[in-house]
Amino acid sequence: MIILALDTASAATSVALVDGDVILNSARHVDARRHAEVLAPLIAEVVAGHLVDAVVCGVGPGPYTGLRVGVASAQSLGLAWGVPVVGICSLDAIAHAARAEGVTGELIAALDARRKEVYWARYGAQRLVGPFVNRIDDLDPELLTMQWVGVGDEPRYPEASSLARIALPLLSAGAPVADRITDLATHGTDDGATANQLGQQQLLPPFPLYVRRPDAVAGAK
Amino acid sequence: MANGPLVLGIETSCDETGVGIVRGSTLLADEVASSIDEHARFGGVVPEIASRAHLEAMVPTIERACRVAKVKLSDVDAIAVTGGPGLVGALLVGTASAKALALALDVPLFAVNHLAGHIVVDELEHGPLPDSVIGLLVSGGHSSLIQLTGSDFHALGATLDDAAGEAFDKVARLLGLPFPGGPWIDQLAQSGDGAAIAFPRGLTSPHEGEVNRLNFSFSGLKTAVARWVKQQEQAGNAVSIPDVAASFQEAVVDVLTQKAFAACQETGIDHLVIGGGVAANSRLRALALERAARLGISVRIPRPGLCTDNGAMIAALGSRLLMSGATPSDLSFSTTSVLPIETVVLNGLG
Ligand SMILES: [Zn+2]
Repeated sequence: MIILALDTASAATSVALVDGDVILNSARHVDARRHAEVLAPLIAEVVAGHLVDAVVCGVGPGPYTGLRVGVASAQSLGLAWGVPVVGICSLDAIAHAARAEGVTGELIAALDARRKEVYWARYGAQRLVGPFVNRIDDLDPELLTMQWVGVGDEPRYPEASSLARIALPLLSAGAPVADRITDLATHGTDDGATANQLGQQQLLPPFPLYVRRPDAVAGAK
Repeated sequence: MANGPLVLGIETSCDETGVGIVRGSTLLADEVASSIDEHARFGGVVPEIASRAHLEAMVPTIERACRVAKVKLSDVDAIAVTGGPGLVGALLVGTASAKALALALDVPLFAVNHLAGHIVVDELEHGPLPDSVIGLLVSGGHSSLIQLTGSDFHALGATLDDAAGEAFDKVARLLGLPFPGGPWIDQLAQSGDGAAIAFPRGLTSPHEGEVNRLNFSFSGLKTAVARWVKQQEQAGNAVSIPDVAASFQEAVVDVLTQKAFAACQETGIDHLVIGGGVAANSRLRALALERAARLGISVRIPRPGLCTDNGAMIAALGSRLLMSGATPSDLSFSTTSVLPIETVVLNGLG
């Protein structure tokens, strides 16, 4: 099964074409303000004439504008090619890459949410809780003592190849795609919100995990 | 039977998710999903709400348009999409989808100027445009006078402050009417007297000078309406809402038509096309036709569904560009909130 995976939940635009364990092609560009310009050319370069069986996109959480560019692209590619499109929580990709590099024990995968906030989720063997969005200052101090991957001096971005590796066994096994958790997925709440009800479910519908309400963005008082 | 290229157009510059399909200049489908109800409680369009709604509606609206047009996506010869002007977050949903479709289907992509679409859309209803026309575009987002000659668009004038539709919304709010205000004012004005109150006509005095001859200004009018209503209330006089609505509307359409016909006379072009949401206003249509008849100018106004933002206008422009051999957009083009009408197709920088 050839999977095209893409992620735009962070400053990076990451695209990979994966066939089972083999990465056929991958490309990445880091610029938080140019997802819309770089994504389609990167996809064209990575796909390079291959026939794609499924599209997997990182559904965040992530700052909205760039995230939506990735999700809208994935949806339309799937529509045009007539192949399924599924979402994976982008924080799962960070945790997956950390495990692949040998990080053990509980960890927090996190991404910059701007406005002095972070998107984060806590992982054991799988995602235990999250994703949430919080001000770093508001987090339980105990959490801050744990292993964090993603944010920090050397930010680690979700890699599309990790998304593909998470999705492949689930897609091959015919795992169900989670129901739209409409209220949380589309609106979230605006008080250190959560999409925690997603639980360990890993195949998500291809829509952003917003985690914040839309008017929380417009207003901010 | 109609022929020409099959073009799918996507429009997401504001709160309407529009997908239109044309073959040549024949309209096959024009599907629109609007998020306007979700904005009503805020009294205006909230960009983040609009962007979310576009993403929700995008694929279902494309599928619906294909069903209505009885075509398969794989039959499409080109994709057109609004590249600007508009709300950037909203535009990005449409342009990301359009880039992905063009890439996956391996067809040319035209990222086009929304304003040019408002003029060219009339070809779907009234046939080919004459070689030279003046376009009057009036909506919640724009008030512009544009000259189209051959395939060149040229700005003649624009609003210096509020758009015409914005003035309708603001006055409607002042009168306690719901958002969007245009249709309510139009309806109330039917039972009012447009000559009851002499509201100001911005930038129309003979002393206005060259620079603003074809520009508009509506913020003074909005302020004048507010002041007038307040004065009447303070004096204990009953305010006739229909008279205020009619007199305000008369001031707007008087200015719009005066300037549009001045543009025709100055350029020697005797064809006027009116587009944008405010073109649905019944008094604007009536006054434009009346003045045009006196001046010997032909006026073309598409039906209301094609005046408001829609995908068909973008498809129509894309089809016209494809047939004229225009260079398609590169997949790396940037959307832009401000786009001069002289730029009809956006191209990539790289
Ligand atoms: Zn418009």
